[in-house]
Amino acid sequence: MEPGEWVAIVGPSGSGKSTLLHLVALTDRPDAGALTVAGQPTYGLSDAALTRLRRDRLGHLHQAFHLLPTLDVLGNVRLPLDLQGVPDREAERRARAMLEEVGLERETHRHPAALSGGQQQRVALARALVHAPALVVADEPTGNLDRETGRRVLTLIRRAIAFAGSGILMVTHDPEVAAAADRCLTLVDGRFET
Amino acid sequence: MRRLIEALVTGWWKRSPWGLLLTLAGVALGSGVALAVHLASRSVHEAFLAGIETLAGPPGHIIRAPAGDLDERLMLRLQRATSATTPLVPLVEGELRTLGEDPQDLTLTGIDLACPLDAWGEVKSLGDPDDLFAPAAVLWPEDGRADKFRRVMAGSRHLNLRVVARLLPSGRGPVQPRVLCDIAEAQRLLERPGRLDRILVRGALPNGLAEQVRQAGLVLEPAGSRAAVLDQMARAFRFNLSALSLVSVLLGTALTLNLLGRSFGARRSTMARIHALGASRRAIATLLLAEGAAIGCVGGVLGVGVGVFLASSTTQAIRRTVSALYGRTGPAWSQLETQDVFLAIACATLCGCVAAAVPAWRALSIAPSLTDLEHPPERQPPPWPHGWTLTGFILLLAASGTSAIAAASGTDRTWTNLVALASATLLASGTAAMAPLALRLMALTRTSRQHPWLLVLGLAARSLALGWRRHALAVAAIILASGMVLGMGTMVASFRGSVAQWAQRTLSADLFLSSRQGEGTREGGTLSPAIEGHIASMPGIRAVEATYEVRTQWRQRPVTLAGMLIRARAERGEMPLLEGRLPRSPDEVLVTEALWRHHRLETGMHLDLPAATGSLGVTVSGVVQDYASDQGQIFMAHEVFFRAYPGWLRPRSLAITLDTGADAGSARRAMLRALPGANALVCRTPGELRGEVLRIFDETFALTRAIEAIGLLVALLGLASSQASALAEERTLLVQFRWLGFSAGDLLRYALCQAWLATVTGTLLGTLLGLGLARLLVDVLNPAAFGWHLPFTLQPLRMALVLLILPAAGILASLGPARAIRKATDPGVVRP
Repeated sequence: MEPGEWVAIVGPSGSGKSTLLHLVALTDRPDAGALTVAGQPTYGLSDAALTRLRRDRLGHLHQAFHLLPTLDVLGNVRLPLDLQGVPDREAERRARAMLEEVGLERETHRHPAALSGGQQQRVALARALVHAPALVVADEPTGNLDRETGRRVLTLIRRAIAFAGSGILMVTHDPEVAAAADRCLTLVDGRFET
Repeated sequence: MRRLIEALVTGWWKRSPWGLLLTLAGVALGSGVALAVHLASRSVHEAFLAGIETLAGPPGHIIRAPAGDLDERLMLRLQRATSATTPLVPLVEGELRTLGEDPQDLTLTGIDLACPLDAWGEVKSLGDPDDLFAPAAVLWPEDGRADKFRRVMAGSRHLNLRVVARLLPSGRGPVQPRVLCDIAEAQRLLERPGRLDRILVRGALPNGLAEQVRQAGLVLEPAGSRAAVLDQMARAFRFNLSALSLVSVLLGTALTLNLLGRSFGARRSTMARIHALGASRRAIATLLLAEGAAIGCVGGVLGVGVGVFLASSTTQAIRRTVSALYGRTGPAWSQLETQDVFLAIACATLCGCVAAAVPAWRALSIAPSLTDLEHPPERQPPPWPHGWTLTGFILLLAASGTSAIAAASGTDRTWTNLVALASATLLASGTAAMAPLALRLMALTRTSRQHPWLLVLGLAARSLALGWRRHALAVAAIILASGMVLGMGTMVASFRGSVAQWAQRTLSADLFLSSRQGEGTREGGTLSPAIEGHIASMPGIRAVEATYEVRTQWRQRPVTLAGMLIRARAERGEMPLLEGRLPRSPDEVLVTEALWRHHRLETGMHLDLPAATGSLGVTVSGVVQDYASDQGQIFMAHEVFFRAYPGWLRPRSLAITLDTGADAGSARRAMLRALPGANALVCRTPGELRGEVLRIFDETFALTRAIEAIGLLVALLGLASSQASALAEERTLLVQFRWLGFSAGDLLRYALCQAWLATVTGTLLGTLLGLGLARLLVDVLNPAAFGWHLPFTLQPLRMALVLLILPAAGILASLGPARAIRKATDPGVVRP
């Protein structure tokens, strides 16, 4: 993938889309072959090194949002920065800027369960991009949203990754989502179709 | 059905064996403690019943000297003065220790072997019945050994006893092992010729005997009255034990409830699937109830073992205490009976059913589903526990009201105990009900996010606040356990400090001499009348002060009348007055605080005391602080004492002051060398005497420490299970942390921070509870139960230790769940 590129992966169930995504997200290890993520070969890296790479260079976006219920919106968005040890004020400033980018600057102290599905996905997007990762891995990010909200979120994703300078690797079943990507790859039985 | 059980029950427990073990441990500990308390209580009860019977046979009376032993010629006088058929039974006793690898303490009781021996057990003769009266012939308690001769030690002498009969326990026979022999032989073996400990009067009291006894300067009392004093103490033990065991049982049930609740949460998807596939909700609920009952039953079986172990230790502790305080009637181990086993298992099964009732109820409303169920989302922001907080406030208000009533109820022990117990229960429940509020308040904490530890600490605090329902039970258990430890500990430490200070103040002579006979018993022994003059004439002795004591009954309660040099002792600061002044006229006396409270005495009040000469009229001039006897003492000048008991010339103890610069050790050695019968004397320095006082004190309260430890252990088990449950429910959240960049170590830290915060919260609230309980024990229960006040002494070191150690133990207890969850949330294993 090129830096800042949006790649969609489509394919039938069982084709290996999620496995690929988890390999790229460094939550699974390949049995064979080599994997380079954000310019870093991952073979032989320890769990701690993989954790650091995931924390600093990757973001993630899920169908079920998976926001932390214990934190408010601002707390959720700035958490990756806190984990990186970014100074408090700087983390606050960047988190607020990211929330402004996704249109949630007025919702900073609300808790995730008090937000609509679209708003929750926007918070998840802000969290995925706040630390300007090289790559965001996204698993059906619009799967839980109605069509209209899904479209708005896709527009937002396009704008936000441009703002953050990140690439995005997105698994989807939705042809409309796939069409919004820069490039679309089809996976069948574990292999890309050309 | 078999498949259903496998899918829902056995399969689950195979996957989480530690959870099963923890649940079983909770049930076993809870039921074990309850069984132990039951067995220990029965041992104590049997001991006192047997105590009455062995002292007096069937209900009758005891004749004894006001202090020490009595001359057997007095018995002959009484026999002649009443009638030839009066059933008077003389008795002498002494302590023996068997020699060999496993020495055993026994009581040698000398009685008239011609009298019926039913009360002592069944006699199995080993030869000619006339052998019973042969030299050194004894009836030995059945111990499974066939030895015909036994080597024992009596005092410092070695004896060779000949076993001529076996004594088999029968019915409620004596539980304390006793060796019987003829009274004349017992007097010879114990080197107490012509002396008796008491005379038993069997059956109805003959006419004129009471008057004859009074004229002889002896005390006649119903057989039960001595035992009543001991029984009162036994009831105090049982009350104390039952209250503490109740805490353990409650904590054990809570632990089981928590673990079964957790297992339900983890099996929701399985249940939904099974229901979707056709199993009825009722069948699932029944299965959960049966599972609870089975766990309870197995836990109960294990609890029997735990109970037997704890009961034997508890009985030993009580025995040591009773022996130290009262001598000779310490309870022995009570056999485990079949109904005890059934009762323990039935209780544990019921406990398991109660714990399973909530999951079973929830199972009745589970929706069918063939997909994995998410845990129900928490509402945001987390709700405030208004109901619990309000309940807590009401309970605390009620606790303060009842404690005020208890304090005002004065000297009525039963009523005060009941109200104080109600107050303690309300206080403990009220404080425990505040656990949800304390947890919810953690949402307001703000920590720096710059340090990894502080970051995870903040997240853990918020997680506790959000999931207060999951954690409140464990925190409540910690509140109860730490409150109990601090409350009891502060009371005991205040008590010990007061006793130590009092002993320091009142023991200012250089040496104290008393009789070895009756050592360690409330009655004690007495000294020869000539000994005072003998010591006073020795070189290096500046002064000798004798104290004479008589134990008698006054206003239906035992009391000790003591004749002493009051003014000399007061000048040395040994008479700390709480009220009034020192006696100025010959008819004035001092009373101890315990007597003052029990009988609501006042200074200036006129008292008619029992005396050998009829009665003695005295006036109370002051009240003295004293922790020597909770039954009360009356201190009077020698002349007043001898006016009441003119023939009582045997001092109970001598306080010896040496010349300035004299060495107490050398003086003691010289004195014991010079005195006749030195083997029968005990000479102690003030330090040794203080040490002895504190040793007895420590033995008295050793039992409470064991129960405190059990309470803490159960609370920590509760914390570990609650942590395992909470972390299992937070699994999705924890995986999220991993995706966001938390390392496995961060998750471990997160889990440990949660445990630490929960324990600190529980311990802080427990500290407040402990202070409240200590106040209740020190200010209300002690004056009512013992009759003395104690200065309340805060124990900052103990508090600091509890605040440090308990959270550290909490962290250790949750290390297992924390490590497990660290592995279980490997992002490669679980995906959000």
